[in-house]
Amino acid sequence: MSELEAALKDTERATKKQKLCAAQSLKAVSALQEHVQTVLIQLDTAPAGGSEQAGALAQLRDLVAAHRKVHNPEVSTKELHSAVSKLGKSIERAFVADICRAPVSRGEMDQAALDRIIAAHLFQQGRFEIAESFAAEAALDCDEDLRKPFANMHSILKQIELRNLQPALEWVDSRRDDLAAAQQGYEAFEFQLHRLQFLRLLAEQGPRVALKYRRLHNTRFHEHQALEATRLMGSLCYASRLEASPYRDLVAQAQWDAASREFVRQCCGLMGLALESPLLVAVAAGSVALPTLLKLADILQRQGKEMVVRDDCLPVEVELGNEFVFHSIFACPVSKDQSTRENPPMLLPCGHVLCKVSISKIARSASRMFKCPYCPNEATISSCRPINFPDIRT
Amino acid sequence: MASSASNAETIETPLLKVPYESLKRTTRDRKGVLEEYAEVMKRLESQKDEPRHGDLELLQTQLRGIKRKLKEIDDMEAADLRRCQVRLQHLVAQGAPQRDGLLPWNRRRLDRLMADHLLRRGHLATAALLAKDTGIQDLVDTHIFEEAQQVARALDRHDCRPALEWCSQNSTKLKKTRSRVIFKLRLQEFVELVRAGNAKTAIQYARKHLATWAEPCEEEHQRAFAALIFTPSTSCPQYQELFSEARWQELKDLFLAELYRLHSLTPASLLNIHLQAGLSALKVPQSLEEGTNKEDPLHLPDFRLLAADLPFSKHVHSKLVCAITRQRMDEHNPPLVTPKGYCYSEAGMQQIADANGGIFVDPVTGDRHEMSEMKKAYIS
Repeated sequence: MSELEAALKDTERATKKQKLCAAQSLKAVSALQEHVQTVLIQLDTAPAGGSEQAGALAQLRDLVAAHRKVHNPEVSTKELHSAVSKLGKSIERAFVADICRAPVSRGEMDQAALDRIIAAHLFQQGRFEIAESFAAEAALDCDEDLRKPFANMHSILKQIELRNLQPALEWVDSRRDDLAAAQQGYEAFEFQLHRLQFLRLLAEQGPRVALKYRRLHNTRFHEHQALEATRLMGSLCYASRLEASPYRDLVAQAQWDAASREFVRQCCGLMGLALESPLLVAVAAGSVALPTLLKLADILQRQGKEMVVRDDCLPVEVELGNEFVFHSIFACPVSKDQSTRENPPMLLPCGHVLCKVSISKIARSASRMFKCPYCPNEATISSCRPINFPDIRT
Repeated sequence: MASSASNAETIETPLLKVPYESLKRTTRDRKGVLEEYAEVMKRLESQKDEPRHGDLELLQTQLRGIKRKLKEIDDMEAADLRRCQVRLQHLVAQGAPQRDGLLPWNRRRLDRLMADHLLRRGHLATAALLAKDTGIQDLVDTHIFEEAQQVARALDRHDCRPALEWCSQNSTKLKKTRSRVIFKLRLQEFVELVRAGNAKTAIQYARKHLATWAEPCEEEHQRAFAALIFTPSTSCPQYQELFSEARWQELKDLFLAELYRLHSLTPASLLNIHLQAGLSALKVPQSLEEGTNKEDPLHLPDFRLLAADLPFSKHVHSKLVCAITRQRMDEHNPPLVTPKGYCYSEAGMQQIADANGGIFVDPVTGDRHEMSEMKKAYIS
């Protein structure tokens, strides 16, 4: 059982003890109240100075003694406390670090910028009610600009989900020039839509209608997809039994989902945005970086030191994973330094790559031969040339 | 895997800490009430005199008080235990993230982080909508932030009373941390009395409420008294500061910081903490260039604003991406270098060459090369 599951079990146990303790405690007090009430009534109804008054004390003591025998909330309270204590220990075992101990910057974040980012995220996700409530509460004035393009995108998206591709196709038609300029493979996307439409018509209205559709949109079945288009024609034989045919993968739900995603990608691309919300990407990167930074803070704290940010750079490498590699980064295998314009990566004749500074250090002079640290080949500085890793552009 | 396990449970600590610490505090209160009940029982058992009507009525009142407190404690304990349970169940269901699956793993988490952030900023209606929409009501500490917002809004109206009441309810804990928030609140009220021209009342107030703070907060205390001489329209900078509007904002921030600390909440919102760490880990010099990869959040101006003061990420290992295919380049997807020194993946170059009759056309420079002219690069 994992630590979390152990803590969960302890929570369930503490909950039971709490219910019991609460009930017993309340019952004890209620019972005592009743007893006191009984004696009060007795006092009220007894004539003054009578023997019944003297009896009130005895009655009270009897009732209290009897009460004591029946009600003992101390026991269940103690059990509750020990259950809560145990829960505390298992929570401590399950949760390791204090997230506050990894501060990266002492300053406050620009709240206005963050507000705009949150609003953009909500609009991009199509959660218009929440987005508008936020825009109102945060007193944002740019919300109309944020809303319109996403409102349009989500209405088309909804239609795709309802298997109506017409608005999407019209959208592609109306933005054709922009899409071509964006160079994001919109032709493949358009083909994807037409193919889905073709197969749907085939299934619902038969081969003749489907064929008519194909002829009507022939020019849009671009050359690039010539092979795919030809393959598609074979589906005409399976008009009523597509799900059982070799074409079943093309009519599966996954295809529709892929079309939806691709539409969002194309649409966001025109707005200069990526498919995934930038806020999600940044927060996800944070969820990977934080444990590493916390571990470092922990180690430093035990050494009595504080985390120091030197040279405007984090003190430790954080491996984010493939989802977060957006640029080529070269780190010299010898010096571990990141390449810069002044210190670019250099290709040796043997094919190994070192940074310029490292090569100068090994060679020690411009004309001297030096041995590559990774293989027996020799080279001179002049036989090495700088490498450029072009960035991924829009 | 150790690292992926520590991922989830390292960063979710506040989720359980808040309800658990609250539960611990409440059970301590329960102990106090139980002691009161025990004391009543003892009194009754050792009673020697005849019980009088009046005494019994007083006793009933006391018992009613005990019962009321027990009911409140019961509600709070049950609520905190429920939160612990729901949150633990949520974390068990959430599981650890898969390698290269951080984006889907964080999708639902982000809603929770946003709700927490919205609550801290006082956008309670939006937070409620978001919580309802995603069913995370028990995963966020709405009740704590609502309480905080009430006091914060009073401070916005220049009313210190709710804040002082909160402080008196939590005085023992505040004393433990030697907090100065009570002094600051009293000081502010004093300044307001001076501002209103009420010198006599101000002095009385100071005698009553500021005297005890004379020693621990000597300098500020003396300055406050000196304020009696100066008026709000003073041009002397030291005393101008006393009467400034900015003091109210500082006071509010100090109060909220104390409240968050008492409740075991993080001092900054979880969203802020994640963003600071994440943006720093993403920040490379290329992020800030014109027309850079739009998948990088830092290509957007608002993100650049947020990351302006953050340190760059550190890289000890190379991570290379092919600008043509956008795929990672490594020993499985090897890089090639053109005669002009531009590096792309072999697969990407071949792709372009195939569409161009065997000639590679560099997408950046436009140069044309034969595939045979390329050199292999070995980068670990």
